Amino acid sequence: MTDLQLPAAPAARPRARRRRPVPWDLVAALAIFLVLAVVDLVLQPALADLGQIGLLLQTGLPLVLVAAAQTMVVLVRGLDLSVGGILAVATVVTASAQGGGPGWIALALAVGIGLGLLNGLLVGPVGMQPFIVTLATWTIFDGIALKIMSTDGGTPPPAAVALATGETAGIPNSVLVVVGLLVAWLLLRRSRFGHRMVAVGTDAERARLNGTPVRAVVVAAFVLSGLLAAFAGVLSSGLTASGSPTIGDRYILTSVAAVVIGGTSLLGGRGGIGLTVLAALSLTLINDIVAAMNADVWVTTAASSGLLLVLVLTRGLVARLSGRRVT
Amino acid sequence: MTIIDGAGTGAGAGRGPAAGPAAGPARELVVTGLEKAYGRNQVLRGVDLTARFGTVHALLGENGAGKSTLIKILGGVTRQDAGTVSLGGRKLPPGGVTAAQRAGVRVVFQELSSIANLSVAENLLYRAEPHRAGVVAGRRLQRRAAELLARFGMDRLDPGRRVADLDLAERQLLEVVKALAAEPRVLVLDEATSALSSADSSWVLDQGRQAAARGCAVLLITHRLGEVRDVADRLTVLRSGTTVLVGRPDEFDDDTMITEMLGRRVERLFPPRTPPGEDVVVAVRGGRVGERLGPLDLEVRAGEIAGLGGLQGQGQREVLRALAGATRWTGGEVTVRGREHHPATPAEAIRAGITYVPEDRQREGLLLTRSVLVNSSLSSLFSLVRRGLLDRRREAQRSRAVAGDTGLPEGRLHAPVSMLSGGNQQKVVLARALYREPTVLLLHDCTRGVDVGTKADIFALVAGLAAKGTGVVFYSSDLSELAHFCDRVYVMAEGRVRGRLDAAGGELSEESILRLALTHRADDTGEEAPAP
Repeated sequence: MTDLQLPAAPAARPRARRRRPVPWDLVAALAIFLVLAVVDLVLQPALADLGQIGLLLQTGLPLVLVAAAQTMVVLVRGLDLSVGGILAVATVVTASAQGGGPGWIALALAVGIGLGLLNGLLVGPVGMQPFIVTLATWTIFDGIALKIMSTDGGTPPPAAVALATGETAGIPNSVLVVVGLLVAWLLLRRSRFGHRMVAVGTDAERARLNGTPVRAVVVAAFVLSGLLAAFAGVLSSGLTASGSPTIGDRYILTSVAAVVIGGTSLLGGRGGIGLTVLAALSLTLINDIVAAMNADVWVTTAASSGLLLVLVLTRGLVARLSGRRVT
Repeated sequence: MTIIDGAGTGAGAGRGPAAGPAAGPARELVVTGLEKAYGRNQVLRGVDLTARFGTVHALLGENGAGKSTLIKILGGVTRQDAGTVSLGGRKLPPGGVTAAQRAGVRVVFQELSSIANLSVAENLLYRAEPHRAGVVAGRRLQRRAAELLARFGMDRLDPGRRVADLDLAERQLLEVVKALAAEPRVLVLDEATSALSSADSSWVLDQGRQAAARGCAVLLITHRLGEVRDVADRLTVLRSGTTVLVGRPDEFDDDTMITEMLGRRVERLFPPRTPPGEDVVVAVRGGRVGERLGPLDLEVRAGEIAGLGGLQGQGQREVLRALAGATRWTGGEVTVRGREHHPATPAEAIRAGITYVPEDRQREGLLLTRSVLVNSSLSSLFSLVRRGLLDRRREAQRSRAVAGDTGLPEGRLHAPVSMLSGGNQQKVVLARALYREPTVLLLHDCTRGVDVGTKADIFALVAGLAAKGTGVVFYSSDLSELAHFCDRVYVMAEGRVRGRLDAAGGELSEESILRLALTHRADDTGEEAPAP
């Protein structure tokens, strides 16, 4: 009934030569950004100037950083709904300077790290769901911001204003911040820690089998997220020259949208800050275009969400057609 | 083949006569009195094992004998409740995977540990990446990975490729190279050849041999007795969490090994069988599911209990799920009572008279927070509807009747299912099946983790249903259940039916099932043309 003979040894397989798969996520994010940039340029030809670009970038900067913060956590298969809360706390701490020096900026960043650490400890070592943890801490952090400053106001240190709106050697600081963020990300991605993050996000159990300190990596991702969100707060307060305890909430879902448009998988382990930045800038461009067209505010909201839907839909279709796993 | 230790020592009898100059610390891996329980399930009850450095030691046992748990303890993935593991005379320190790796233990896990979103090189040198100030030196990483692959003769793996783009066999090979690269003192190969072609299998076994020649203790877990005879110096057989046989492979014939793996069990569990009818209720011809399953032929008659046998994970689950409409057939002809049956959803399959009792009763089979009554009527709600509303009274009546039949405790019908014991939970799932008197009943390992008394109840229930004409497809990881409860067993391996054993013909026994499952060797991929 059964064949007990060993099959003949097969011929050695030639080394498989396969083409590198097309990086669809990069192509899509770039295409969207370029189309929007061209549309914006046609509407406002004056934009083709470094100073103007810097101004546009300024307004988008907090979103870029919050989205980067969100990316760190999503990469390890988490979700951080509290980024808006951390941002709000950071703006009011920065604006509490009232004539004080750049020490207040450092304090705001340190607070961001602390709040991120709290999230990370609850998710990693305690083992609670990131969604639940950050849903709760979101409101708690908002409350802390309101306790520090019950209405918009205060004065951030001049350094914060300069950081957000000034320029260095003729280059707008906003451009430098974005470039700095991208460089930092490239280094992080190539670092040993970056590999650990990818491993934990891809499959925490397999990462553990390889001896990865999974919980520590999760904590670190949340700390980085807290730091970046606080930095967004510092810049936001520099931009408006005041603190706002309620400014954070508008960034939460937008940050998730930017992560998704940028092609970072919500299932963890794939993607990165580079494309998130591009996506956050695309969302900023939409705002600018809608403003240039003198349309109502609701158009902005609807347009960004519409873009998100269209993108996720196309990605699903492309994945189905090319037989890849949908992310 | 080199046989290093010639003395036939008994189970766990410690070191044999000193072979070679190593008179100092024991040159061996010694496991003594290892115990481990998961909840109330005692998986290891005192395992002893001695594997000398420089030898290949085969570890054999039925599914559930405790092999995987033993390996997990060796690799630092789980911790034992009692007993010790020592390496070269020193106790393996606690501290998880990292500590075990530092002590020189590397495990090629059956479930594979490579990270899909990293490249081959990044996986090979995971946690040993060359770096400058924390930033990985990409080019050096690539070069070192290429060197490792070349050294072990596996240079057909491209170090730059993402692991997600590798196929299963390539991932398996990568896993082996990764373990070898660490130059371990103990190398565990957990069914590392089961997914491989014969050429790749022999590469793995050869690498195991060579690692042993370099002084490593290689622990080989396999279901292929041929491989044991080819490369192992010694063997240990586990059964129900204890060591039952130790020796050299040439001391025993296949029958002895198989008998020791199964053990002798007194079986009073199984109800007498009534012979099945002649009507075919389910017929599968050339059925395929995805790449890995099929082509496959099956037939189940009315009143028949047809078993799906073989080792775990040979496609049995996929067959049941496709019949139940949980996944789709991708080819072949499937009929239920002569009518074509290609269900797209479980609901369609239920309408065609098929009831599926899934493997994971808690996740797939029950609404844990709802009562026994609600759960037992769940899939026959439409028959209880009057004037558009659910007739609660009839539901309660019928549920009570069914509960009586199944021997569920009468007083607990309103209790949430999560409060019941595992065995009683399983009865609720079966009660639901009884409720409908299905044409076909699909059972996926429905007695796993259930105590003997409840098992007997469950078998009686199923036999009763079969006597009324239901065709039963029964998959179990327990060979004795297949051998004693079924009218016929289809033995599966690597996604195909490898043989059919009929109880009526006297061919059906634990031995014949295991023999059919084990003596099947790895075939080369795609040697059979798919049915048109």
